[in-house]
Amino acid sequence: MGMLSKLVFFPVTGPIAGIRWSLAQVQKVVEEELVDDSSVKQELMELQMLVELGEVDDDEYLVREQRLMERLREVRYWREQFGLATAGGPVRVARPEPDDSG
Amino acid sequence: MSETTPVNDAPSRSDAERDEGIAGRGSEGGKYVYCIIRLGKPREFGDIGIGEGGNRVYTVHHSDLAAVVSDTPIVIYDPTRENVLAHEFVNETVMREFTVIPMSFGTVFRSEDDVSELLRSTYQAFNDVLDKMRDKIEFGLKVLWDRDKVIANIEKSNDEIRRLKDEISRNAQSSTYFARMQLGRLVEAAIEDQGNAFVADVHESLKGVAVASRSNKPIGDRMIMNAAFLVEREREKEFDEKVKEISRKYEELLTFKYTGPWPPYNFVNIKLKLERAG
Repeated sequence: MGMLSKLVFFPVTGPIAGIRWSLAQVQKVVEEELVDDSSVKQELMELQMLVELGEVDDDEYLVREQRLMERLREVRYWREQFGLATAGGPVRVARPEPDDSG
Repeated sequence: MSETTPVNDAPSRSDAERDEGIAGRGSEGGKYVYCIIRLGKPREFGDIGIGEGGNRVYTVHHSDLAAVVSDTPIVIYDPTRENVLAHEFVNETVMREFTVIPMSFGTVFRSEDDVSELLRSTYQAFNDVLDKMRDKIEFGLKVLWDRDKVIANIEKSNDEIRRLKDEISRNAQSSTYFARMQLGRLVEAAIEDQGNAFVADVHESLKGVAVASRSNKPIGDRMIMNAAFLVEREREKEFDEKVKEISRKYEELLTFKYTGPWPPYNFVNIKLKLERAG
């Protein structure tokens, strides 16, 4: 069989579990990217550095800051969707689970 | 004169609640927490809080500890420059008189009771850290370099690199790919050594006047040092002098960004057990 037919028939002949696994991998990578705000934070710090050094003016700063804030909100949204911890928002001291006797 | 009777006789409840003077303290609603200090009696720091219009900054107490707070709707604060500056401005103001344990940006509690509970449940840890941080302040020092100047400097002073470079330019035709590669590698290694040497020298000259230091990850590709220093308040001038001295020494090659005094953000490490409150 030539390369082309392998490609064409792969989804049929290949192991279904393998495909599922790779889809799960893709899903996982996508999720990890959606919920990771470290690159946004890094960019925010770089932007602050640039404005401090006078290499970015105030107007440009505000425009770029706005974009970064939108990305942060998106990350927060996805973290909430996946039930992960988010920074900000109301908090309280964690209370121990009430036990049976109490 | 009875101390317990309100002066203006029994206003309707809704009026009283609307009146800041009466219902302001102990009012329900979200509290934005800036920092923890040691203080036994209520205190106000002015209308400098985060949010539009400048909210009143005051204290919530438990025993001899106080949280410095302002009222806030239950919202998530974006770390915009405006918001971060508001947070920092409050901490700077409080710091002028108190040793502070700074809270991280954006910490909002649902009610005053929740804030008191924080103080109560973390009482010992807050107390220990307040003792340790007593009369200490933080300074930030970022060092950036001009890579081109540093390379030019290296090419002047490093014999091996200079010789290799001369050789390559003399025999432009015949100089090998290998020679160029070797030059590149030598320069890279020399740059790295040079960077490390700068950073070591800065740390060396400041360590005598600081209590502790912490190195953070440099931001961007021009920064070679991003450090925080914990300094005794009474040695601030000395520290200042040392920073000026070292920045003069390298003024041709390096740019120093020196900030502070800050609350000891980089030296307080209390892991609060907090959970989301709805």
